[in-house]
Amino acid sequence: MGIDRKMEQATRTMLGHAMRHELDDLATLMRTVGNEALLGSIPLCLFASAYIAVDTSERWPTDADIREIAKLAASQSATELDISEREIYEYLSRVALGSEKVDDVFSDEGVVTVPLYTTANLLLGFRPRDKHWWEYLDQIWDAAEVADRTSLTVLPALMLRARKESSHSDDSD
Amino acid sequence: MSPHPRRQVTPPEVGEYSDLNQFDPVPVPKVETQCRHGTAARPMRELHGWHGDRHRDARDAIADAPGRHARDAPKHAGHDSLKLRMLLDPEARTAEHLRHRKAVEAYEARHATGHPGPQEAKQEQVPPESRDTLTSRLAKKWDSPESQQEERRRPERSWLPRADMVKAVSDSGILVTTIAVALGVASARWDAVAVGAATAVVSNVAWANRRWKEKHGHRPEDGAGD
Repeated sequence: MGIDRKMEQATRTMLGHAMRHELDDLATLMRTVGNEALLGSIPLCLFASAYIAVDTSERWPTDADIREIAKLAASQSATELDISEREIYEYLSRVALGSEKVDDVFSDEGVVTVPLYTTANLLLGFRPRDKHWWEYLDQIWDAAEVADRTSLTVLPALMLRARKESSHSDDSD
Repeated sequence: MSPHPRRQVTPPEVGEYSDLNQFDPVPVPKVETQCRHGTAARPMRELHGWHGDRHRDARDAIADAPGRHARDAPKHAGHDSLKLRMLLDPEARTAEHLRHRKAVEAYEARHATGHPGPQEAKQEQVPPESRDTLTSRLAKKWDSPESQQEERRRPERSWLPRADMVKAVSDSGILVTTIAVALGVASARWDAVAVGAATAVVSNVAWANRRWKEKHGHRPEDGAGD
């Protein structure tokens, strides 16, 4: 997944506004960046939220995992964004981790706001304790670019490494 | 403790459906599955005579009980008597078929009233402890509201990292000095050149180190010094 720097910058700024609940600034930015950047931010948000769901579940998220993530992101987020648990669940299960298109699942108003608000809530809530949200976002984009360049044949080796490292950390606990 | 695992004959999960299995042998009570000497479990019965001389004459209560057959007993003609009877006697076959059919219908009638079958009952069961584990695992990763508020207030980092800034200033200084010396505005002194060169080396090493870290990510040994 090649990341366009212009799209990435616009997405990052929008996420920052959403996180701080600066909705007027967000609306102004959405008008100024133009349709192309706005639509370009959707796949970035899709990738980021799916990454966070997999990262926090430490496996391909099960339905129960997604429900729990949606519950936390809707009810315990400091952003106070207008997004429901149901919308987050639908977005994650059907679009971000599923195969449906965002405009097939949500109405026109939700096409940009649901991915953006969900990603903002997930970034803020599930970021690693030692990282700021923008550093976590950097990690996600780096991972996207590395994954894009890497052959899938590496996956078993990565799984083995992950397994080994997790068993080492279990032993040291 | 016996070296041989004792074979468990698991009864049907829901007792009332056991009547569907017409050919299931009688469940064997655990207490009788061990030989008298207590060293051999039921699966090894065929080998009873070969445990040594002491076990040569060991008897098995279940195997010897009249009308009872164990799953692992050596097979002989008597075991096939029901099948043989079914094959040879059309009336018995019809009666057995009708009896089985009746049992199936009774089961289906109960099932249709909403009584869950064993498989359905199993699917609906989610062990409460696993649900709790999942909840606590994800909730543990979710940041507290106070910490989230603090993070929201924190300004985003500058887009020009500090090491890059140092390098830019240092490189600009070297360029300006070089031009000044070339134009004769400043005199070329070796101590000034040495200080300038040292600054350039330090800033470039710092910059390159940062780039290297960005490229290779955080290693465990990097975190040790933080």
